[in-house]
Amino acid sequence: MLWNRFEEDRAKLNLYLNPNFEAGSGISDRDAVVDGVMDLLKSMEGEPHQLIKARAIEYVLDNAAIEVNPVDWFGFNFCGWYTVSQAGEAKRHKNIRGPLQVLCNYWESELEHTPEFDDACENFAETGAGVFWPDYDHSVPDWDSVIGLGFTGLLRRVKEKHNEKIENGTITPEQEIYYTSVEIAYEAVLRICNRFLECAKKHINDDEKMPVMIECLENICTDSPKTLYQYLTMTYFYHLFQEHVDRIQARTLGNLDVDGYPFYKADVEAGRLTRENAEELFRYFFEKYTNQGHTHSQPLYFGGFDENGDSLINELSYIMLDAYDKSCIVNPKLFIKVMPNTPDEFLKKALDMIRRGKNSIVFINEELGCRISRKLGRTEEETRRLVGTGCNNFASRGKETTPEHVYVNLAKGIELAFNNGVDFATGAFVGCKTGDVSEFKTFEDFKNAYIAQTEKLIDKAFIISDFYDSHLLDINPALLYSGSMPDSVNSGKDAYYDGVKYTNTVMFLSCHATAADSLMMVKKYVYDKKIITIEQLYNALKNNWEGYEDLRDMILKDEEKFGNNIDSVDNLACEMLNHFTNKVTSRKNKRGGHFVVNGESIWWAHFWAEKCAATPDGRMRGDMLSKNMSATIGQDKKGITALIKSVTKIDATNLAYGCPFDYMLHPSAVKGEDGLNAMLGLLRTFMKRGGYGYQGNVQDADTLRDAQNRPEKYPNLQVRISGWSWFFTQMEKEFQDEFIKRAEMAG
Amino acid sequence: MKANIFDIKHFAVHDGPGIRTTVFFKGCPLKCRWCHNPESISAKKQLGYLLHKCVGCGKCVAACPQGAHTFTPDGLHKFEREKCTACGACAKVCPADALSLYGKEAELEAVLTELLEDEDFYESSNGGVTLSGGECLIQADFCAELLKRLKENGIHTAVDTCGFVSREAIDKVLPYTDLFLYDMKAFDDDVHIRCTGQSNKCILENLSYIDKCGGKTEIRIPFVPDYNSDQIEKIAGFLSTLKNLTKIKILPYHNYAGTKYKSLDMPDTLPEKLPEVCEIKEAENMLSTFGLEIAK
Repeated sequence: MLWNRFEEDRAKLNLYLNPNFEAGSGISDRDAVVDGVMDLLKSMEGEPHQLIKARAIEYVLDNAAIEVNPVDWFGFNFCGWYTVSQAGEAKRHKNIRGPLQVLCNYWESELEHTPEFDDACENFAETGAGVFWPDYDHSVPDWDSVIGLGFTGLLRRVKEKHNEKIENGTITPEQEIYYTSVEIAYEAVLRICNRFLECAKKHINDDEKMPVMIECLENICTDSPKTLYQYLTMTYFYHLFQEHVDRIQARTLGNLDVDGYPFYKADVEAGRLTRENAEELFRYFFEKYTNQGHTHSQPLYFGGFDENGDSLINELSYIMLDAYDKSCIVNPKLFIKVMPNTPDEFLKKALDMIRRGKNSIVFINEELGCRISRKLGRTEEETRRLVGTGCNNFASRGKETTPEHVYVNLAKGIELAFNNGVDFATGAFVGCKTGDVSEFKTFEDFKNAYIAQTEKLIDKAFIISDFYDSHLLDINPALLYSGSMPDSVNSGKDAYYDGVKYTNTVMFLSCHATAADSLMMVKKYVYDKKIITIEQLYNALKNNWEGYEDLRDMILKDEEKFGNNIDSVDNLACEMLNHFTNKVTSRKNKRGGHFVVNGESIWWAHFWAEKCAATPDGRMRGDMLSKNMSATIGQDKKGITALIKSVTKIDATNLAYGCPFDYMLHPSAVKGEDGLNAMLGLLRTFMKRGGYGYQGNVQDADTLRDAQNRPEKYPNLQVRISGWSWFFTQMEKEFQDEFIKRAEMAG
Repeated sequence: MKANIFDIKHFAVHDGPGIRTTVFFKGCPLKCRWCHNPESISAKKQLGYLLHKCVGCGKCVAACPQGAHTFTPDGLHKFEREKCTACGACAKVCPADALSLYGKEAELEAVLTELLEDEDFYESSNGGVTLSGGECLIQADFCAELLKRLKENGIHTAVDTCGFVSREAIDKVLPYTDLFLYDMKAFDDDVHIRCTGQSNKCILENLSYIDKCGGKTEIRIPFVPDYNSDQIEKIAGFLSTLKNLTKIKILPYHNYAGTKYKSLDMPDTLPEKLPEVCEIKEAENMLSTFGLEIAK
């Protein structure tokens, strides 16, 4: 039986944690593979890094043990694969992503630091001013080339361009190294695919799937995919090699519903596949990424529009959602491009999944993406075919490599303005001299000091980014990735250097809401109402509000904070963001492009909490800073409509590379058909008002329990049963318990 | 023009179609045993006090001009409601949200401005504004003016009413109301009196009148075991004669409002027995046999 087997097979699908390598197929000890790479590095010392890396790729793909799992449509594993979690959370940014990570680590350690770079880095991360690392995580291969050409076609294209340059006598020594290296890498890819084919043939009788899998591998070794299954297998293989051997993240698996649809349609017309089969196939496919277990999750994206502006959501989009829904997984994560004409039915299906707690789904405003794209000077054709490049951002398809090296904490400048550039906790001088706080006679004085401090942090971020941008090719030349990118192949230059058309560098400007609320409270309480002096506020912050509890209560109760649709503070947030994004985007980077901005804070809002002193918005040291585009937790007291209005006042075209908004709703507020329609209404309004990314939660019993224990975190958790409404945290415990029980029953 | 309201709730999802903002007016002529918004019954402002949230900081003592808040020698907070004038000074300083003021004088222009803030959301979801309570039509002049202004702004309007109001009040709002959310608690008058303290004669007459005038209605039936659970068939019979009824919603009774009664020092009149899922289904089936559309 070929189909209706997923549940039965599921327990046998995780090869990554339980490998069972084919005897005699190669080295089955991961450490030994890494040792082999290190030996190779020593033996080639002094050779160009591209060439060393090509030989290392060749070494791994030729020598690592392999296995074929006969019950798994995508059961192809090799001993060159490491999970992020295996490397340990502490090493997040030096993690072992694959055997070639040792090359990156070695080459990075060899770099000669400039005094400016060392100076910029000093105490930057330790004080929570920001965070940095060389980024190879936000790239998307040109899936059109990968799927359209297959591995053989990709190799052929590189060779043709190589020969052309040799024949017309224009080839440079650098190009020669580039082409040779990419060719070595792709030849090795084809050899391991052949090894999988030979291995599979040995197991032809092990399962009814095997003949189909063998046919697929034959296709992978010689041609481009012709069926939906072959398309997904090609995607799987390419991702596996780029992500785990090339050590360049393939940050999205592509526009699977749109690009896979022609294959699906042909399969159905030829009688090879039914809708149900396709759904099952996707369940096996998704399971691979669940099992790989990336902490960041593996995105793939849905939707888009054609040359007539019509939505590209199709039958396969629905099939994929159904498969995802049935599997109850969070990885891969889904990225849905939303246009005004994206069908309500499709969006409601996704929103209903979120409502049922299957919330690893983000909605991205494609109309806004198009406006941003035009603003960045991309062509209409490029604008029409934007790819999702990560958790929530867009790039042009096959023409863009946009590393993201540095996050800057916009809230840190408040502390630095109060303390003349010095971090309260460590005494380290990380900002600039803006004078003693007692010298600020007007709010403008204070604001200017804040701006100067933040600009100083941004200047440091430029220096750090420039350093990594200049050395990306030294640290980790991108061979397989470059071979997928037409611009790179045509120019003979690495896609991470200037081998592609668009070479922008992202800088993150995070935690704007905590910064804006703090500025507002300084303005109001010190300069407008004169309730306290700036020196008193300095002491309050320095002492983490100890001795100033009444003042803190008053400030916490004050609703003039970002997220309540109050123009004064929302405008302040917009003004600051516009000012800093202008500064960032007017600067050129070291790869021929510009700096661009992303407004995300992800987990840094949490990790910086302890490093940042108390802030004038009432936050204490250790309390989380504002997350992504949302309000500081607990400060948005007027509900989701006000929060959306505040967030969408920000001109998201300035935050061109992403700025997601997180919402939180209670299941009782969105139950029934009315509730689903309301969820759609929120999403549509958010998009119409120019919001960027939209993601959120409909809370379950666990959250309610947390809300019961820490009510201050959940002032907005609205509970509504038919006509009755109240805030959850204002209910007595016994009723909360009852309600939690109901939530458990509902789940 | 002013009204006494106790809340404006944004993102109200179950008070009519789409995303709505609901204005809760204070004061109600009925005394339903199961009332889940006891703070809405009195037309006067009231202070709510949640003993379990009090942190004993004593700020209310200093803030209260009437001396209604005191602390006993062993540190317990004492609130004397008879001294309280509901000025709200204590609620303003309470850091734990143990004290809150229900009810405020609201200017029409201010209410309208706040309601228009969510215009984008109404438009995206075919939503609008709902006037509720309490019984909003006790303050019919304000309601009529507010509804008129909303209609001038192209906003969908709904009025949530118990129906125990004068015909004049209905006439005032009828031209500006797109939908009445009309409560139907019992058909038999004696049952209605037992449940709410008032006769339902004018409630049934007003509903027929609205229907005759072409006003659209959505009927809400709170389902309370042992109180009105035997009324469904009779209610259905009556409703099946209406021409402009859009749908019917059964609201299963919940007893979560106990905390609110305590916070207001009001005697808790809440029935003990909760409806079973099968009873709700049965009631819905009964309504369906009369050809009535049930909203989920």
